[in-house]
Amino acid sequence: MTGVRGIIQWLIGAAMLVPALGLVLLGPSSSGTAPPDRVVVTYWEKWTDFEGEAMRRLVAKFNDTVGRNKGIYVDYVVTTQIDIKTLIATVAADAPDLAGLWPHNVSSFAAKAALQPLDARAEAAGINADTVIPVYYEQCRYHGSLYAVPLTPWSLALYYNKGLFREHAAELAAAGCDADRPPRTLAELAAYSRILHRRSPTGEIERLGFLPGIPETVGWYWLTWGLWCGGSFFDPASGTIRVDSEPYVRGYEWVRNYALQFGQADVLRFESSLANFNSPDNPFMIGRLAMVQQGPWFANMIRQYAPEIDYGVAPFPTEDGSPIAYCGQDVLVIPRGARHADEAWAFVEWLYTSEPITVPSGRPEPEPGYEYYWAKTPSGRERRPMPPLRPVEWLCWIHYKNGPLVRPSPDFLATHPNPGVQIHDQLARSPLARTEPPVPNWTEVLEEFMAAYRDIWAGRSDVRQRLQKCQGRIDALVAQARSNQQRYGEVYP
Amino acid sequence: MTSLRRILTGLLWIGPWLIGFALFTLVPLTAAGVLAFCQFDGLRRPIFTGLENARVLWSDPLFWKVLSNTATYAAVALPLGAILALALAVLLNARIPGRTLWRALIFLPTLTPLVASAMIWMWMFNGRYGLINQALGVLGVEGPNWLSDPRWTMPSMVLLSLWSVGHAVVIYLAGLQDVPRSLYEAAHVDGAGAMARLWHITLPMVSPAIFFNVVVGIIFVWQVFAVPQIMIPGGGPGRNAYFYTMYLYDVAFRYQRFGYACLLSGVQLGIILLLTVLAFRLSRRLVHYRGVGG
Repeated sequence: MTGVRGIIQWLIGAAMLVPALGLVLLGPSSSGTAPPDRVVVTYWEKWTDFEGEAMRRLVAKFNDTVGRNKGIYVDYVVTTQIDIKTLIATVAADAPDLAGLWPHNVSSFAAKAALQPLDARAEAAGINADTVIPVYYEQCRYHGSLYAVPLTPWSLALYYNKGLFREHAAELAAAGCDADRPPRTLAELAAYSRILHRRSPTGEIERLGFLPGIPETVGWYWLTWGLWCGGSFFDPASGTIRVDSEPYVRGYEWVRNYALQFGQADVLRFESSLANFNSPDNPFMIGRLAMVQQGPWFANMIRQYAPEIDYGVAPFPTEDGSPIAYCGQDVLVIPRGARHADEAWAFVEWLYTSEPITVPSGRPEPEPGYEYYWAKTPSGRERRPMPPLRPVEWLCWIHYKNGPLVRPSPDFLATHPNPGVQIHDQLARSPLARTEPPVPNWTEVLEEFMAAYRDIWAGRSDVRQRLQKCQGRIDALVAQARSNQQRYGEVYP
Repeated sequence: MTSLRRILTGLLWIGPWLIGFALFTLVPLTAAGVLAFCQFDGLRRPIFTGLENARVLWSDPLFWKVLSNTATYAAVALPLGAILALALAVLLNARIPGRTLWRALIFLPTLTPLVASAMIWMWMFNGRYGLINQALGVLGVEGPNWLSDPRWTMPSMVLLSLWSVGHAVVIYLAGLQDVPRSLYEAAHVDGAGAMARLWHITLPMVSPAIFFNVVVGIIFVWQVFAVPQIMIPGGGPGRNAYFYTMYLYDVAFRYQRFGYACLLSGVQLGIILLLTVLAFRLSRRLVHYRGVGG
């Protein structure tokens, strides 16, 4: 009997070993292609799809050239929720050597000493305020130190459907709007929208000229309306975030009135009917919106989903028509505790300082951006071999984004596939370029601001009162963050 | 086998669980208890701040908002779910055509992954194309913008909670099938009607199942998270569908205020414990176990 029991026990034990062995053999691991004689740099990045593929190709280029000579192998690991995971890994002393974060993470992580300062390295590589466009460079700094390097920057612009403008040229002209140019002021934006909007026979909105919207639909940049009226998020002198100043009240009253003029419930119903933004049914692609507020990647979405659309790119309309810009970017950081910081920096340095390169797609069919690009010629367009670009510029090029460099390579803008890249580039260089403020608790502040915006957009509150209430809450959050920093002997922001 | 050897063998076999429990439950629970009195952002050393987190919590309007939202949700979704599940179980216990198929259909939604459910219901609740508003339209009623109208976000979530009553239905069904037929026959002979039989026989006899479902329900509704997090991020306008666990997640992982999040989780644990204890107290009077006492 004991013998049988013993056999059963061993069988159960063996059965438990199977999944354990499976986990060891088949569980999460590196790509496994790193040559044995190289130092492996673990690089966490958020990109998938074509953006991820481009970075993967760039990493392969490095690994096959400079990486091979220096004994470095960069292992590209796609990571969702990259900010949270990078933070947790850093806490657990298992940080990646390199991470691609969002710019608002820089101040938040740097304030918690989660990032390595890069000033000395960057200065030696010539990455500084003279070589990087100021709005992007400043966003990588916190308390005077550089904690990140710009990777793929962007600025917001107005993408508008020229075909729809032409189709309604007479109506636009009758209303005093010029169909040959996009709106320049918020008043014009509302006027164009009124003309371009259409309803079904049953009275439902079929098309709107523009839709401010919520972040889950088309209102990704709902936070910018105060900026378009000349406001600013942050007063560096007092270290205060303000969202209840007059420009903000005017900006969000414009949003509120915009919904009211078409009927609050009708607009919300129209908004709820919009399909996934990153899909062929994107409302701009199928003509349900004539204008959208978007970044340079939107040109790539148009190329993929509706290449036949005749569209234009312009600075986003502002209250007085001055070309205010809202800018952001993806950044690279080296977390605290990274085991191969020097090797990780070698890759970052290569992105910025390498001689111009070309990147093969590695696929049988030639691909634009890898093997060739379409050059505009007097007779139409012509297929030409891809010009050499610096690695960081090539990445921006293939992401359809403007670049971070003050002095870009000669071919960067000339060959760029985004017809609006000059606009995005000029906006980023403008003295009116704005970004998120460098405060450690911006995520929490933004959540409070977003709650106010949702109420305003849903027609739930008086704009001024709601913004004042929001300001009160933000003041409390700022006071708390300030006191938290003081406990560590540091200052806010 | 000596008793010491027996103990050691037993410990060896439950060892993996014990280690797992200590590492992933006991230690984190104890750490959370300590960190609730600290300022801790996960990266720098925790600083003991005494009752500072409690002071912040008391004056945090968002804490009271999510507490009120979750209490409202629990107060409506829990009894509504229990009544619906019991009613469905009584129906499915009756001799109706295709009974097995109906039982399978009622249980099926509980097998759907939460994310998939949330995505489907986002379209069901769609103000313009949603099936619910289409059905209401047939009746001549104009449906609301369920997920963007602040008056309807909470009712949407409550309605959605009824989608997965299948688990409770199965438990009630098992309880109902355990009710001795002789009791119904005796009641019938005494002239009791359907409602009287339900009230005086069925409900007391399945009260242990009701009690079990209520306790499990309390634990679940107070932790509602994934579906509203996907469907209405931030709780929608007015934050009317912003629930306790959503706020807890934001405070911990998005704002990195782990000390404050530990206090929030402690309060949540306390509320669930309190309600569970209350349910057990009430059960002494309301739950009837066959062969035990009265």
